[in-house]
Amino acid sequence: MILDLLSSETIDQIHAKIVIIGAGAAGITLAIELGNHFRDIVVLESGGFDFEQQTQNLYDGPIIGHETKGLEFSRLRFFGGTTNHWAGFCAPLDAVDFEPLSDRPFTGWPFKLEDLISFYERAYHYCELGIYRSKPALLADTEQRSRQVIDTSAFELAEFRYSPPTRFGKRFRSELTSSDRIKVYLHANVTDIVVSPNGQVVRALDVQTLTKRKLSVTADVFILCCGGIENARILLNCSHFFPSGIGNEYDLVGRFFADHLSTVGGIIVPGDSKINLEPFLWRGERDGEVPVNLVFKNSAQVVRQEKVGGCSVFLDPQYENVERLSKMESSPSFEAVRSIIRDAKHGRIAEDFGEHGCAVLDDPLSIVAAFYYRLANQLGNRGSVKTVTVKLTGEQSPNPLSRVVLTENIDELGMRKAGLDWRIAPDDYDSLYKTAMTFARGIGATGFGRMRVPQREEINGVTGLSHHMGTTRMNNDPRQGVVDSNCLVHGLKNLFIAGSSVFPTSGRVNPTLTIVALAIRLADHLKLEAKNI
Amino acid sequence: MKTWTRRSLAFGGFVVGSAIGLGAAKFTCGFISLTQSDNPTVVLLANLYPASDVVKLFGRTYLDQTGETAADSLRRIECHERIQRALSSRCPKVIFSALDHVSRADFHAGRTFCIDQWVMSQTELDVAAVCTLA
Repeated sequence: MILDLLSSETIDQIHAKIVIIGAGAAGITLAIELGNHFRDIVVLESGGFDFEQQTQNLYDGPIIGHETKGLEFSRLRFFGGTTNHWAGFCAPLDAVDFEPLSDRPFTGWPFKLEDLISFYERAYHYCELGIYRSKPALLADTEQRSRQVIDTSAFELAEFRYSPPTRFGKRFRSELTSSDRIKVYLHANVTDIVVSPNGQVVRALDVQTLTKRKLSVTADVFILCCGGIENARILLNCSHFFPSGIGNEYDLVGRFFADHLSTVGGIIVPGDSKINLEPFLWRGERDGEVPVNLVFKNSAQVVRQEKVGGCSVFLDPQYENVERLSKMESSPSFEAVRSIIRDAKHGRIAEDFGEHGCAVLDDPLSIVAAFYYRLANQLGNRGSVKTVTVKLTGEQSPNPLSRVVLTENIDELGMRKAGLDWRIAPDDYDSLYKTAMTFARGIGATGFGRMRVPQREEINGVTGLSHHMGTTRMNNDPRQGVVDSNCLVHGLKNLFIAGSSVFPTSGRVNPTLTIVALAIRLADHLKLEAKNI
Repeated sequence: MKTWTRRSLAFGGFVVGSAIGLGAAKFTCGFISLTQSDNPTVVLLANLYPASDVVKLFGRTYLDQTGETAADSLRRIECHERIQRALSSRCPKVIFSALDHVSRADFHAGRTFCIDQWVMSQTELDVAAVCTLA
């Protein structure tokens, strides 16, 4: 059942077995998984079914450190959360991502990849990725495909799969609406987490709408699923009982913020312009209904032994016919045709129709050529490969100085706004540069081509991918983590956290699949603990 | 990195041109007669590359970077048995094939240099350096 606090009857008290705060990928997955086992699940969602500027403004906050996309743009605050605008890139983390690396402090997860595999399998269903296979079909001829491009043990091939992308709000709305075990409350903003006098149990949540309607929500178990920035912000804001915020006894909440580092690692001039790079094209192949493509990753051996952070290497070929199409489509005559068609669609003839007509007559060949190249591209005849852009997505080493902080600015609900002090360590830039150089040597060794790499200083212009991670990191030692391996906040008996904020390290793949897998894992844990709840 | 400089475009052309040259060489191999000079290795190598100015520029940059002389590069090439055998055939196809083989081995062994941000093998840069003597 889905209720809107802005339109439903006056309620000042809600009680549930389990309360989930946030209806994004983690929150919705948890609700469905727990709804199969428990009777009384409540989901609190700050937004409505669609984007509302007033609610989105609650995400506003300054960028203090390395420049990146604004906090009000990089995520979405309505039913379905940030899955309302995600691109759908999915891949599981690698075994090496879970390992503690002796030369890199704060690395290591409290469990191994093997412990997460069965949850990845189930996460495929939520992300609409088809059937999980430990050895994907596209990798069956790995050796042959990779040796065409690169000859080195420093890289291995991996498969990326593409969710449609699943908009969790739309995809699972009917399931949640029809459930008599799950109640979703829209426009319900959590403004405080109320802790028992002994500081060990969460008793209630203070909830408020933007129309200033207030209510209290009590439950046996509370799960915070508001994303990498907001989870930390809420914990830090709740300072009535714990002056430094909930779960922050060791000053860890908000620290270790990480994003994936994205940059161009170089441009390749291929030796053989007819080489087949289709499997590397974005969504270039299909596994049944699911688009997939190949990427290179620096090998586990390199990550372990050479002090290089994990990095994915995407190949983006520029084809002759695509380039020509782009050139023809930007010609004045084609622009004029486009303008005439646009006007015709609106059933009008523009005042400058005459000018457009002349432009068309001036250069009709460009228009013919544009249509020809468009048709050729649609038929898969992209022509020869002119260049290949090498795009890198790298992980950040865990950095306590990189953090979400509270600013003095107050939002409409009276909560302090978050500020993002994103820091990138010199080692992280070095890792990207080393990866680019190793890749350049690897493609030289096969004769695939020659690569021009950026200068080391140019790597400093990396951008983030708005994958907010690490701010309530997982570690069984309360001095090194905010939550334990079951995502329970240290020192509290009934407050759990789900989402990428618990990632101790970020790996080199997009986080959503792992977020969903961890949410399923947490749901299973709570089912096992049902007797104690 | 975001824009192609004239020099980088020229080098790109050089790389692609080399590949085209190899193809053309397959056809013309039997007909080419290269002029002998005092140093046949220099003349042979210089005749292989159409964009000789770009090659020489890379050769000079390489020598500046390593502090070596073109004579050092020539000595290294002349010491290389496979390249020597290819040069003695005087066939561009065979020479290109040998240079390609040795360059790949350089990349594999990490014998590379970064010139104007292009990652290149020692052997191909030695060839470029030798071309400065022509």
